[in-house]
Amino acid sequence: MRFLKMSLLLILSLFLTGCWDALELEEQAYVVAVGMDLGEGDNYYITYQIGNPQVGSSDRANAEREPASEIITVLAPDKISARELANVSVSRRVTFSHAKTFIISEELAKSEKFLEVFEAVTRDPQIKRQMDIIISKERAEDFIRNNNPVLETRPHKNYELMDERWKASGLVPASTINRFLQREEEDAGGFLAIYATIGKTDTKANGMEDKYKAGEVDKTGGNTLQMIGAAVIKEGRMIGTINGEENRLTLLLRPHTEATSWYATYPDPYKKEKHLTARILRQGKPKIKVDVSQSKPIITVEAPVKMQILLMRSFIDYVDDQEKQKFLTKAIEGYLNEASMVLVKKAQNELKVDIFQWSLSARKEFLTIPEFEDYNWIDKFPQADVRVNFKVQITNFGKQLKPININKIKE
Amino acid sequence: MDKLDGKIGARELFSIVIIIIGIKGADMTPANLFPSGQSATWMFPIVWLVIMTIPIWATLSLLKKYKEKNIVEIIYLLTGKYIGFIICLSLLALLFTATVLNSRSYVDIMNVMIFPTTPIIVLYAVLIGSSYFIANRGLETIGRTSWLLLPYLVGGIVLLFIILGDNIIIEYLYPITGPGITKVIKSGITHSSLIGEFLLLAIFFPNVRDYKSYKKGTLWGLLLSCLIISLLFIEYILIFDYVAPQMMMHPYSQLTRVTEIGMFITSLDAFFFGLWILTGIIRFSFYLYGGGAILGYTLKIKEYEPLILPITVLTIIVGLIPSNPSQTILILRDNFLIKKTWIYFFALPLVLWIISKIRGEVKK
Amino acid sequence: MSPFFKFNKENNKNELNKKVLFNNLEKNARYLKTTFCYPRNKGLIFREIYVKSINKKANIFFIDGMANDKNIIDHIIYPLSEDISTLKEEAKNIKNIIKAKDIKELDCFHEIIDDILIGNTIVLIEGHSVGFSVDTSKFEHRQVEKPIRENVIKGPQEGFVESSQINLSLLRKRLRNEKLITERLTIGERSKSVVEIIYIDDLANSDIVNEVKDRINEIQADTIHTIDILEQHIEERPYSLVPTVLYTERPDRVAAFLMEGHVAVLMDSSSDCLVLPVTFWSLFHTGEDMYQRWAYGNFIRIIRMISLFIALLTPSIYIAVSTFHSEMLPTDLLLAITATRERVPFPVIIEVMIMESAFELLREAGIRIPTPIGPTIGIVGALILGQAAVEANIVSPILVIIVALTGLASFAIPNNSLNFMIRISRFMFLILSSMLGAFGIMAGIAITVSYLVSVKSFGVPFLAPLAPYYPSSKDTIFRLPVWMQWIRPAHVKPKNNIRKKKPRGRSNQ
Repeated sequence: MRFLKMSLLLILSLFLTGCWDALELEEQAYVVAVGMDLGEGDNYYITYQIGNPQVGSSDRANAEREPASEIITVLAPDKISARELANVSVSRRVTFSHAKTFIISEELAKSEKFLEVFEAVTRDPQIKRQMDIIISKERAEDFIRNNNPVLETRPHKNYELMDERWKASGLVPASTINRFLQREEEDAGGFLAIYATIGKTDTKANGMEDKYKAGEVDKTGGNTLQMIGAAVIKEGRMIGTINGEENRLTLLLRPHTEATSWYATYPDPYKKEKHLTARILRQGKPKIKVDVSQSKPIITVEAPVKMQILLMRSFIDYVDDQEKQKFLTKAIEGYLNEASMVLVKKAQNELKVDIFQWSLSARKEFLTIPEFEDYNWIDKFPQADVRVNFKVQITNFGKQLKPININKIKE
Repeated sequence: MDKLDGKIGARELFSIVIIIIGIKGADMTPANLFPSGQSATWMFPIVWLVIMTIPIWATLSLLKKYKEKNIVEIIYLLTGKYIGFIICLSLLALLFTATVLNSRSYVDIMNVMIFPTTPIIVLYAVLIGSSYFIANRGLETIGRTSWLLLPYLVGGIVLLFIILGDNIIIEYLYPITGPGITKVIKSGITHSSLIGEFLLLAIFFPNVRDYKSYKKGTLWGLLLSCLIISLLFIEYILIFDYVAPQMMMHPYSQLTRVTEIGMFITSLDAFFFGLWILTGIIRFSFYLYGGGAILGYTLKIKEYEPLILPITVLTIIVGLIPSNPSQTILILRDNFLIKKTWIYFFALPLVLWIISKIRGEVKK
Repeated sequence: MSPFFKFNKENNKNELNKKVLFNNLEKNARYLKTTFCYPRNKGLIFREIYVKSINKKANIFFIDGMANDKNIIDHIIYPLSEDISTLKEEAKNIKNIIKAKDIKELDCFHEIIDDILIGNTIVLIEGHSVGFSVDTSKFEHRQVEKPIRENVIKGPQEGFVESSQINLSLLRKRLRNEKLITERLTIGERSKSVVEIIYIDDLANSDIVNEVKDRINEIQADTIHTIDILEQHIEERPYSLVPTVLYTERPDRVAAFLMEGHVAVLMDSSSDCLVLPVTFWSLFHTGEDMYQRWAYGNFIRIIRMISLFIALLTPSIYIAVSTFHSEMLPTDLLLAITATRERVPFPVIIEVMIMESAFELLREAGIRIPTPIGPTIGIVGALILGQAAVEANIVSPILVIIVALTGLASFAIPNNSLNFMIRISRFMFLILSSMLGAFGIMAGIAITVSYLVSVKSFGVPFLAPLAPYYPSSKDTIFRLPVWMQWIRPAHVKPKNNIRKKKPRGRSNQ
């Protein structure tokens, strides 16, 4: 009898199949990137880049002329309602579950509406907090439309791989929605978002590989996308930008960062006009001490850095000479200290915001949240007395023991 | 040698305790706790344990004294027919409300996070239906099922912590005492009814092999549950900082959405959701069975297992009443079920213990 | 069964029981001949001889094909017709004259008939009201061969055959113990079969032994041909998917189970043995887990455990992920599946159902098909299931992978009954997951686990010693090195729990 009942139940359930929330894969359109621009009135121009599943799959032959993605821009009050509106031309249900990147135009980021955008983000269960935020110099729509990677056929792959490269190179910060919301909710420091643009704006040749902002790198060929430097966001609005080198220094000085190693060039202490190229390895966390006993906070940062010298254009033999090595270490430390002090001053005077997340270390000094809130870190930071001290350790000099004897060759 | 006497041992009891209490770190409870605990919410379970030591001890000594009697019988014995009946009824009412509110909050979470268009009644029926199936097979089955699945559930939590290891920021735990130590303790005390299930467990004392197993099972279970809750709270803070969890309806599912392994597996949330719902099903099966047992003992019905079905049906019917899910549940749960009842769980065992002491003296 | 039938049967039995042998040879012979419909029934062989030594007539009855002709001639007819006047007078009784390994005196007709039917030869002597039953039974059977279902790479290669005598010898060869007991029971009303219950007296719990005997005695059946039918008569829950009796063809496994205190049941004319009580682990293990070295044995167990879950859950997980939780798929995979699914006309659940049914069909057909065309079906099946179905846009390629994987995994499940249990429950999970995704699967798992936990096999919980916990050698998902398995599993409630001395200095308990 029980068996009968059970089987009846099973058969019944078979008829119920397919209802409710079950949705076949091919009924959905997967948004890989979302762009938002200021629109008229209370509306936004919302751009969806929807991946075309057939492109790049074994089914390519059936869709030879189809583009890799469909890009739609609609004028809608928010991201969620735009999803339905997109259905005026897209036949499938628009899904955010695979959206990787959230692109916001600089214009919107600088306006008061910036925070409103994120209200929808936190409420919709489909949107992940791990989405990356990119601030684009031009309109987000143009950014998405003109981003044409050659190597990756599918657009999501491009964003996925970029994300990995960013983490490694340190030229841009790792900026997810989750981190953004935390910074804004904590209301003590600024947030660094990836800054990017399509195409060159005004190129500068400054001899250092990272002293650029997006659009300033002199580059020809390939995708015209440039992603370097960061947009600084304070209290829900974008207030300025920093360049690639500054961003790297910020990462070195922060208590936490995901970037762990990258290449950088430094002036050779013996021949100022020549450069050294080194691989920077962040070694553990920097020791950050915040003294909040006085009215002005005193911040002492001791940042350990490991360095592998990969290229010495000066042909000076550092490998054998301990003295020279010491001198080199000191010189690089000095260079880093100096550069970071410039950056700190910029953050304090120009941006007036803590981009180094030192508020996190400051929190340790307080026993209760009300005390910390009363201290008002966001206002105290610009007056803070900051001391930065890099500890550089050169671990090796590449696979070559001695530099090529350039004089001998020239003779 | 023959142990097949329908009784459960320390292991089964231990796993039941963890599943019914430890899971509270992953349901809607954090939404109730974070606004008052902020970055020190993780200390709450410790406060609960400390506060509830006295009533737990009182319950244990009562059970030890009246061997072979469960808490309902002890209540009847100590307070008489009429007052005893009222107390037992209130215990039943509390348990029933907890079952309804908790199960409804589960259904709401599912509704919001994964099944936005599925009718609530279907989710409710499947959830409570599966719980009923387990409950109907008896305490032994509930105990063994929990014991069997416990390693996987705990393993799941450990895995979650490992996956999220990259994203944590230790500094979020500071300022260490959150809103201040006194506030934490105060708020912790008012929420201490969250481990009030120890009183409920005392109903099943005769079903446990012996006093030693009972003591071992409950105490270790409570300790580890509080540890699990604490760790989950710490994890919420380490990932989201203390502000965001105050606004989240269900931080656990938000947490699982952050899970990614490399760049390829971008989300494991359905897996962790599955573990969570599995725990929920077992948890409610215990609640349903407990409800049936209390009702049976209160009305002095020996065969109380048939009473589980009406309780199940009633749970679904009552659970479907609130129309606006999260707020009603959240407010009701916080204001009534948690904050108002701690004194009940605190005082009842003590009062019973004192009565038993006085009576003992008189008899001598 | 209706009480009417019951009554009838008892009546018959009583009537037979009453019938005692006459003192007259003619009468006795006539009675037996009528019972077997003698001249018409050519199966019964009847022979008259004259016993010289005692100067009496004797009649011999046996059934052609069940008895060993050579034995009858050498041990019965020849000695009886020989003149043995050298023998002392008092030694001149039939029992001494007949040279057989076993001889019984019977005085009831029903006993005599039963004995004829199991292949014995009956000797009736003039003036005796007893018949002599001489064990001459000999049935045709296979030689001992390799096991067919339970193959091992390392370990003994003998399997049971359709002769309980040989089966017992295979067992006794492995267990030389004076307490190894073989009890015989006869079952079947119309056709008698002999069931042998084997256990080690000072290990097996007597409750379990009695329970087994009771259940076998309670069987009311016309006939039970084979042990497979017997299994269905004595098992715990006839409607359940869960097997509660282990069915094995390997004498080495049976011997190992006996040493743990289990009871084995053998039956004549069946090449298998039942072991009971069983737990999930007995069904899940193979002999090879023990024969292989510790690390290798555990490795194959892990593989089998994984394959069990693959066989049970992969299709339902695929459905859950693709229809409810698409965010779980890596984007590349998601797009690849989506692209290939674009032109598939069915929803994914129907697609899976089609392929799973086709696979089961292929499997069933593969067993039923005559051996010479066996290989063909593989080619045809692979073509239909794989290439052609995909090219015709009936299924997506990923599904072929999933079904193939599931099928492959299901072949790795060692026990036939467990195999069916997994394969059938797979469809249950499919339906659940197509309704509610991960929630459905988890509800299914919760129900399944709680059900398994409450199943008992002859009083032993199905998932013991894991839940409920019992002291054991931890021989469940993994196993310890053999020298550390010093304790017998307590859930079988053996009379003696300790296998050997606890290994010194290294304890597992």
